Amino acid sequence: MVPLTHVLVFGAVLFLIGLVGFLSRRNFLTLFMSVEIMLNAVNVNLIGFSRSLGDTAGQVFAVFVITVAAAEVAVGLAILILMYRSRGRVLVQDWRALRDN
Amino acid sequence: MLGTGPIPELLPVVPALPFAAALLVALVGPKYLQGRSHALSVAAAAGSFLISAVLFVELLGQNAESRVIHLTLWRWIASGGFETHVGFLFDPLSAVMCLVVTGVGFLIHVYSIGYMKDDPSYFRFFSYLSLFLGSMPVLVLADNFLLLFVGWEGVGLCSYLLIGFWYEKSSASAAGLKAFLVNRIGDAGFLLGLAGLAAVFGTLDFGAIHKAVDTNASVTPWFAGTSMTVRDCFASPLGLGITVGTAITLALFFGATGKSAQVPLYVWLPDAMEGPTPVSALIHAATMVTAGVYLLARAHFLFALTPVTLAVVLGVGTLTAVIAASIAVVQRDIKRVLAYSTVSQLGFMFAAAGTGAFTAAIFHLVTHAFFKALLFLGAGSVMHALDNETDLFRMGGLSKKLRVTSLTFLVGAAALVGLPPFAGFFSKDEILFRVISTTNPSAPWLPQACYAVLLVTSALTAFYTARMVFLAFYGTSRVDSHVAAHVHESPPMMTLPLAALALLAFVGGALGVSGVLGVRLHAPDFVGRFLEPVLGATSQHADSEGAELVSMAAVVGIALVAIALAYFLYVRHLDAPAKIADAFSGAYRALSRKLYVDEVYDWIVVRPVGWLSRLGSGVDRYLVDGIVNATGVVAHGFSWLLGRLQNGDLQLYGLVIGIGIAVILFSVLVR
Repeated sequence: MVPLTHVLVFGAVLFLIGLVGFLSRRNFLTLFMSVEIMLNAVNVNLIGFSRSLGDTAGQVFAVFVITVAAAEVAVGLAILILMYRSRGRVLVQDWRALRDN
Repeated sequence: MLGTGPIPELLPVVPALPFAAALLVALVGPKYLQGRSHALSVAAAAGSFLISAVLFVELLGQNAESRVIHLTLWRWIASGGFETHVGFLFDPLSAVMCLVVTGVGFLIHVYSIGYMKDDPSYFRFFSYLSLFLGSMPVLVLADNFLLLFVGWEGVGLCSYLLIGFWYEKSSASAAGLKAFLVNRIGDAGFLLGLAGLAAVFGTLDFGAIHKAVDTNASVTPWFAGTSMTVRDCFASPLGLGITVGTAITLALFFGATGKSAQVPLYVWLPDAMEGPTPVSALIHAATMVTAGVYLLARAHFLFALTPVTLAVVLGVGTLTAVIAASIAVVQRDIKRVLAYSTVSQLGFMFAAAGTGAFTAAIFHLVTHAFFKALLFLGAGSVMHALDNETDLFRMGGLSKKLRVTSLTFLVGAAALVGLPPFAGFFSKDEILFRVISTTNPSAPWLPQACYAVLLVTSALTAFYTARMVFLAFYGTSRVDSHVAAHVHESPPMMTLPLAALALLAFVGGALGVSGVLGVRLHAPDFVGRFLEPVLGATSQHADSEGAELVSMAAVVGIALVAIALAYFLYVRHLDAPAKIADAFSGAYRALSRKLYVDEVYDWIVVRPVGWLSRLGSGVDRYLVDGIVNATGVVAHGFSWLLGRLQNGDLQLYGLVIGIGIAVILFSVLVR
């Protein structure tokens, strides 16, 4: 059986990859994917703890996260398409216009 | 102790009637009443006087020892162990005051109809006058110190409003302000005295405090924490050689010096002459300014315990009497002569109170109300005839044209000088004799010194009074020719009150013939006997009859000499006064500039207060406001800085959130 430490390290690496991607990339679609990676890093942690504690609640929780993430992606992609239609590109700096003055 | 029938319920009506009139006149006066505004006010004054008279008769019908009509209306303040009611008390002292206030008030209301005719603010005048005539009975009928203070402030307000009645004139509004502010200084003392009384007795009720003092009950004053008897409490030292009792009574007396224009707070009264003459007569001669004397008489049982305060009262009264009388000698303005004369006569009343002769003080208060109101109204009648001329040196020879005015004025002047048998003779003589025959353990030499000074003062009184009469009514006319052409006697509306007051000033003294004259003439001392249950017996000095007669003769003799001197100077040799003034130019200038008291006060009080307030306003504007504004500026700056962070850059937000979480995790996990 895979020890918990390995699972946690894997989750942390995955989360960092997602975080760095979110902070450094310019394409909005890539940002989206980075956020998904971070969510799934959390899922890995949940499942790892669930297994090591013998408590299935963590796995149930992971399924919930996936569900919510799917809904979120649906909304996010819709916005992204509208963005593309109005601007012809989906770069993150174009979103500054939405800032609160 | 309640009377029978509806009598106690009549008490609140005495102040309520004028209050209602004041309100009605103020509301409907400008639109509907205008020139008829006096009707309501005069009717209310008459009603108040009649009710007072009914109550007085009811009081006379009761047993001499139990002459009290008392009515408690409602509980006003209840806080911890302290409780105060709104209640009215009609005992002999209140009765005398109430009759004088409403009676003289009514006469002056009638007089005002003629005097204020054609004034553009006719209704406003009568509204204020009624407000005053409502506040004054609250003062004299109150059954506790706090309600008395309400009336006290009410009359102060009316005084302010009426002095500044012709507010377009800057001197009038300044005089009103001065009166109000100087009175506030005295009121601060009064309030301290009330706080002291409340702290010692836990109540401000006259009856309760009187009883506690009489029975020497045990009280729990604030400074001790344990209970002790009233006398022990009053004798407890408070520091600086002052006992608790002395401090409380001195504070009350300080309040009285403000309202009753005594040294050091008398400076407002002469300026108050800027108001209409009926106001000077009613408020600043007959009624309001005597409130201080009434306060002392009302609280006589406290003052009787504190010889030091009594000595101060005697000294201050005497000092005021002589200072004011000497200033009056050189005044050219007829109303100012009368104003200083009022201050001086109030000094006599306080001197009497300072010897414990409260009955004599109240008796002089009553006679003074009659003859000084008469003199003021007479002066008003003269001004009415001469186009508001007040300079004595531009009058003269008026007795031929103003017969009623000059005759009644003469009666008032004789009463003021104290010539027998006019009212002032009996009351002033009683005061002088009380002063010489008193003993004060805390200052044994004081009564004799004060007697000597008061003798000089009566000489001065006779001199300035005679000077005023001779300059105004006798000798050659110095009236401007265009004014002299239409000098006329005042309408009956004004001369009738003059005649009524002259009658009172003539026979009023008979009400209180006491001492050796009372014994020799078999005259009953009505006032003294009537006030006895409240103020204590007027002891008869059977063994000092001779001394009293000598004193009396001395007073009258000195007065006659002074009058003769005034006749010589102001009728025979009218150029002599100027020469004398030149010869003693320093003294003359000092007196005519009112001994520079106003200037001194300006330097030691008004200006420092001005500097202090400018300093305070600077501190407020630049320091306090600066701190407040700086808070705003700093908050604004921070919000600007944080606002820069919110630039819409999604990834910057993410970075900040990430760093934040990292810092929190680091601090939670690593520590």
